[in-house]
Amino acid sequence: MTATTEAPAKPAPAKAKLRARLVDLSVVAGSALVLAGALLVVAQVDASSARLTLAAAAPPAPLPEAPYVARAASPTSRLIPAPRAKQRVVVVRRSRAS
Amino acid sequence: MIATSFRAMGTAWWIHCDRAQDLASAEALVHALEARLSRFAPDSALSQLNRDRQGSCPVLAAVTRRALELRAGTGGAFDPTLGADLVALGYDRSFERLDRHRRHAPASPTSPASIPDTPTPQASTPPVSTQPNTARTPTVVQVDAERVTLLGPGHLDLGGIAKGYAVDRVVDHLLERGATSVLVDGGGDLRGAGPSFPIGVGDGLVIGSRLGAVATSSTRKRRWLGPEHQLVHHLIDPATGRSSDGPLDTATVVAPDAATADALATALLVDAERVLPRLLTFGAHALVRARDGRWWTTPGAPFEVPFTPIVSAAPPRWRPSRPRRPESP
Repeated sequence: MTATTEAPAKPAPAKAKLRARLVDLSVVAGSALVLAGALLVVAQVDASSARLTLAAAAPPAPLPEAPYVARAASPTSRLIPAPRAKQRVVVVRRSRAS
Repeated sequence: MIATSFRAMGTAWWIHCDRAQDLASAEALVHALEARLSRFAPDSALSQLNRDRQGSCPVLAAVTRRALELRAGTGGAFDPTLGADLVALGYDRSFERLDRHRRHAPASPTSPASIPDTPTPQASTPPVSTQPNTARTPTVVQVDAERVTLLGPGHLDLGGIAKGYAVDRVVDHLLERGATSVLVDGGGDLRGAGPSFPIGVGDGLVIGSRLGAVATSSTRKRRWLGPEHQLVHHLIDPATGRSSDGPLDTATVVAPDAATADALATALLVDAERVLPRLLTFGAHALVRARDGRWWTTPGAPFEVPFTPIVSAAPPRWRPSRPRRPESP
């Protein structure tokens, strides 16, 4: 008498297939979205390049000038800028006008 | 070092010395010099000279002689014969006694409690001989031994040198008596002897007192409303007889002695272009402020950026442990 064992339950092939198809669909959809966005960017670039081409004949806008910092001139000849103190120290006395 | 402070020559004085017993005599010396050299004291040798056009006083002759040397050395930028111009501009009494509404200077922290607003009798209507030298006729000053003679119009005014001269005399006085450490501050004119003391100058700079005497002058300190209600100051341009109008408003000079530093600081504000090339002939250097507030020096000037000595930190393992504070409950 041969023992018969019940065959193990196999996953429903339909569900697996469905899951696989959903994954494929999501990948395809994502790729499509990325491609569409890329196409939009390219279109904008093309449009701006067209505008640039049209504007090429116009004179270029002047570049903003860097601010000019003039070095202070000596009030009279024979003088150089005095050194600048960055800290104060205690002195015995101070020369001052009176 | 012991110090004393007092007022003389219209300003505050400090004398630092390692001989306390000589401070009183040093102060008395300053007052004695003021009594001879002040144009505001009617009995001073200077006032008598201006009235009588001649006088005899050793101190007056010595200071006048030095003032004339400095006038020659500065090409006339420092001129001690402008007393009448100062009176004409309204500076006919000591500055703290000028009418309050005419004074245009920062309030002195040591101004006396009562300042008469009415002019003192000797300061009213000056006699003809003291009228301003509007024609700019030069005043001839002759010094012969102890005798001083004035020829021509004008008054002698030693305000640009007297303080510095007094500082020099006080230093000499104390050294003659055996002091080895001296620092005299006569209203911002300083001179030391012995160790080198750091003296503050300008905008945060320092100079060692051993490098020379230091004096500062400014057009911004003594200002008042003149007879034409214009703002004037006490530094007179000899060419015009009016307050100088140069590009500088403050000058600090370091020179071998305080009288020279005092006079050169004044001269720089009157005519910097003329005086600057001559500073080295006096062995002097300058730190000046232009009207825009910027500071400038002569090349090679010994004014320094101050520094604090760097103390090397101990290695961490040698650092004493801090006592822990008890934790709050």
